[in-house]
Amino acid sequence: MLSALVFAAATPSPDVASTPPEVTPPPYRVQPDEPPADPRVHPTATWLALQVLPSPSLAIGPGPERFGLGWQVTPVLYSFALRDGFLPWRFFAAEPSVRHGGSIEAYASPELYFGASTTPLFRAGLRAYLPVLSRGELLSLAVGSSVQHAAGATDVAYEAGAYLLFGILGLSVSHAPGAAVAPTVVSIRVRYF
Amino acid sequence: MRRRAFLSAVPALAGCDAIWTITRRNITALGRYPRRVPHRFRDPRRTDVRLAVTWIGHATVLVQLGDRFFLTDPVFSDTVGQFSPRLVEPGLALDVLPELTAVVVSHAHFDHLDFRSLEAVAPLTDDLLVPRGTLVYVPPLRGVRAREVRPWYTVELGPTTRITAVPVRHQGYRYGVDTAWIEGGFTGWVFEHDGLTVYFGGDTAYDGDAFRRTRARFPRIDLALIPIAPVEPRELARANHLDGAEAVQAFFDLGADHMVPIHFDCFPQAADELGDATALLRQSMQKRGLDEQRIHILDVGQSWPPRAEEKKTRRR
Repeated sequence: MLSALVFAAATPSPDVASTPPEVTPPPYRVQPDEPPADPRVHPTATWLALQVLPSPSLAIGPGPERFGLGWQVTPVLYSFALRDGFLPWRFFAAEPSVRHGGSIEAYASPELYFGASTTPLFRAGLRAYLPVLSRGELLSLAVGSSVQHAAGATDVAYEAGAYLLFGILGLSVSHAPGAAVAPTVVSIRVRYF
Repeated sequence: MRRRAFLSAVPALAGCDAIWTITRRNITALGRYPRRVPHRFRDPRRTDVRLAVTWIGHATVLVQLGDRFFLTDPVFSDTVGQFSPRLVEPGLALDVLPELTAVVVSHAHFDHLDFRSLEAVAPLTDDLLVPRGTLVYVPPLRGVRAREVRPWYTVELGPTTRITAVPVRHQGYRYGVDTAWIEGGFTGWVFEHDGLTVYFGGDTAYDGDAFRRTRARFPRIDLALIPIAPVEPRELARANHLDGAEAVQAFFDLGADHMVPIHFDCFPQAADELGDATALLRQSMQKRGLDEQRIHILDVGQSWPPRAEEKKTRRR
């Protein structure tokens, strides 16, 4: 293997004599009421870079199908999957098991649909995630409702979706009855955190 | 100039090669049925010895100290991380596990913290211990008191029963991005009961200072469960994982009487071939003058000390 050849000069085995250190750590007893470490989940540069990845969509009717790309941001999420003692709120970034283990999120989604001309669409809504397998890491379902605005018209849309692979990949269908632009959208959702 | 460009491209090529090798390992293992474990015990409880361990696979070990049982990093699922398939079935069936004094988890990686396995063993125990920063990933389990424990802190579970978190060197994230905010998130454990002491390293790189400090706190470790893989690619694995040579050094640092290696040949691990980790361990044992009277290389499902019926079938 190439890597084995390149890095054949591995660090020599640690052959030093083992002598205990002089300082012995004192015994500490766990206090029964010690709160757990509540993670300070926050957007990072890596997270931001991953959010740039678009989710491809197909807008169906009226007229020919149109290919689209969408992005989404979650300003706030409330999780009901967490144990007692943890804050249930997440802002922008949320761990997969916190989102897909059961949560409600408010989201905003700019989308672009391509055809004879490019049509921007803006969507904002609420979505609930329900875990199906392995705390939602393996499979979760989502239902939601949103308001979509495109070409000067505002419509109400309803959506349902299923998410796999820690929520990284999902299939979502939204339908806005009577909408002139993108009344039905089938999306492959790509999102990490 | 061209030579410099070529030389700088070599590590990148090696990295790509390593990634491809790791991916290929997992893909080629997909769809294979896990290897059967011959003669799985129907009753893992021992009455002939006071200290015994049964290697269920990877970092999952049933530890018996007197009449108490402890389970480490319970993973009984067919895959970890949804992609890495189990190569060997668990060495014990879930329904033969005894009542457990405690279950411990060393960190939140998929091959150590498995939600479905935790839910399956939850009815058997009242206590679940995890490292600091990890409880957020543990699902609510009815009837189980789950606690985070910082390194060097001890949970007392009876007059002579204690579990202490001890420092190791690893990574505590579950999904990658969470490495930015997770606090600690990885640990080793020391089990004590009725004068017996067992060390569980979970998953760790070589950290001589941590091992020697553990020895100072626990001068008489009867048995150390020490991970020995993944081994390759060493330039990547070294930061988080012991190889056989380092594991032997850790064994000396800890001052343990006996060692049982864990964390090898149960799931595809990095670029390791089956047998790589144990070959390195044996090589190092030979170099350091150790024989199998002190380091006991088990097959999945085997226990140490061996039962009478096991002694004939031990790997050589």
